[in-house]
Amino acid sequence: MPAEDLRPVDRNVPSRLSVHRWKVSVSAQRYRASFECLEGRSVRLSVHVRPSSPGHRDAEGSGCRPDRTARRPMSAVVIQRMSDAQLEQLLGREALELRIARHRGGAAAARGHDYEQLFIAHRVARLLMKLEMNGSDATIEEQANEFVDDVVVRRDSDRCVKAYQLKNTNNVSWTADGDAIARDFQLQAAVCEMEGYTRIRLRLVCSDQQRVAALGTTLPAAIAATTKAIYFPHGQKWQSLIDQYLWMRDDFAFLSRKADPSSMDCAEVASVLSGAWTLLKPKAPVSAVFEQARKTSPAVLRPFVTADDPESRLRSDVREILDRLPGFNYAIVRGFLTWSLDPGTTSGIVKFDCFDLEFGILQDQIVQRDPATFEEIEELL
Amino acid sequence: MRAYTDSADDSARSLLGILADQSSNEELYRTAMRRLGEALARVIASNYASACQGNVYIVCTVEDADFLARGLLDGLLGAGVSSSQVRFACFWNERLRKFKNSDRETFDIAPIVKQYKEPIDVSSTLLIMVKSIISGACVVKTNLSALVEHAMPKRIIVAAPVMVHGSQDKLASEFPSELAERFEYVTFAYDDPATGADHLVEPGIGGSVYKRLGMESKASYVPELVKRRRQSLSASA
Repeated sequence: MPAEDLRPVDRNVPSRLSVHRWKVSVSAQRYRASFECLEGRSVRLSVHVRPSSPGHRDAEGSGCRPDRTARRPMSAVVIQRMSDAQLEQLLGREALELRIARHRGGAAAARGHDYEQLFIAHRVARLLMKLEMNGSDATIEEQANEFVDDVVVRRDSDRCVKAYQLKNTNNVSWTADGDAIARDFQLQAAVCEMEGYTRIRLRLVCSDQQRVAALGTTLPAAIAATTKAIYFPHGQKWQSLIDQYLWMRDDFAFLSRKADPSSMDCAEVASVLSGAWTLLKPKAPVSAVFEQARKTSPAVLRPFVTADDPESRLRSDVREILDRLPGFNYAIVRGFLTWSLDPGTTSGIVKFDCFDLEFGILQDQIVQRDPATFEEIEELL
Repeated sequence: MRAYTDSADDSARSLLGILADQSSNEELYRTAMRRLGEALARVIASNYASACQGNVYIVCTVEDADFLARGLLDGLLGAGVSSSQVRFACFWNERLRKFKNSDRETFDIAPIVKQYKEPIDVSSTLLIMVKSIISGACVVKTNLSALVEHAMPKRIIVAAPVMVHGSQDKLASEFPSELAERFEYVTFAYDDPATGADHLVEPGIGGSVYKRLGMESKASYVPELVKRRRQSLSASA
């Protein structure tokens, strides 16, 4: 098992063991890992490693669903971004000028670019999955003033950083233009390490699958430990891409208010996430993007799963009324009251979720009307 | 700048004038919209006579159901299409362009919150998507997507009294070419795209169709056409 697949492990490492490097070995299928501290101390921890779901493969082909059961204690790691002065001191004037030039060029190219917009919306969806599953929030930043900085995702509490450079062309190579890209990735890895990140993953994102394969075979050894080329598709119409790529559809579907959303529903989720990011960028916690994205009426995204069961929000007096309406069927699905009328010609989802104040008002109105038929409350739904 | 199509006879032009006229009252506006539906039906029955021999699926949004779509339905029946051939669907969409806590428009979607769909094999029908105006094509795209998710109609007619220049290309570009090449359009006039913050086309259909039709809330409006057809469907089940 490659070390990169051990991501769920490190949430179980007590934060007080503030060492930066671990040598990790795992017996193939067993849930036991040996951690040897490179500073000389040795500890042995039992950890749970969940195999990745075979049905879910992400753009990198290696994603795993986060462990829903794991709850990570938040550590108080503070990572300071390297200032221009520090960068110049550590890596030289040339490196500083290169970083400034890269940022300037990247910011200009990114404006209004569909490729970046969908990629970020998809990243946010993925990160929200982790947030809900294990409470792990991340900060996302666009054009982050780095060497590899189109999109940067930081989880400082884990000393974890993932940076993406997006290339929507089919002629990208590590070595063109005097090793420009390879050099950017090498410098970025050095900066991240100096800043204190221990889990550094740098990705060259390309919209041409053949080019990604070629980049994989020509990856320079000097950056191979931190860097990969990955595929992310490009297209003007998001719905078509979502329709075409099941992994993308699944990731947006995860956030939909519908249990079995269509590609159109998933495209709506992507649009709302992108709209929320547009309001909050260039930098925001993923949790804040989610909160913003939930501020639509009707709601497009479902609420996060909480200890408070949405079923319990549907009052018993309302249930009694709904139960006696002839031909009326209802259920709480993903936190929303979802209904249909036999034989299924009329159906809908209430515009707000069961936790919303308006849901309480709706229930009051239903009780007040005390309907005997669906038609008597149809206009309320 | 408005450009009339060859289908726009004097009657259709006059009815479009009533829509554009801000002094037309609610009743006059409703009647004009219904007459325009009948006029669209006449064009469809004439130009697509063979397609109208089979099943016809009329699809609309809630605000158009009792007026434009009702007129279209009556017009088709008047042109010889039998009621047993016709099925009907109505969608309640909410157009969303911004968040509740922001004035900035950062996205554009039209989620469906409620729907009425009579059962039909979509793959063997002439699907007529009727709407008072086709502008950004967002609502039409959403509703059409909901209908063609699992099956593709034989022919698809997008019918509207007014369309915005370029809206057809915009709509077609949203779908795979295999589907988009089945689109056919019936309209009486083309207008320039909206330029203001209110997204209203000039002269278009004279402003917001909900307001002109006198609807207080389209979300709570249940069209008479839906009520009547649903009742009839239940009785025959």
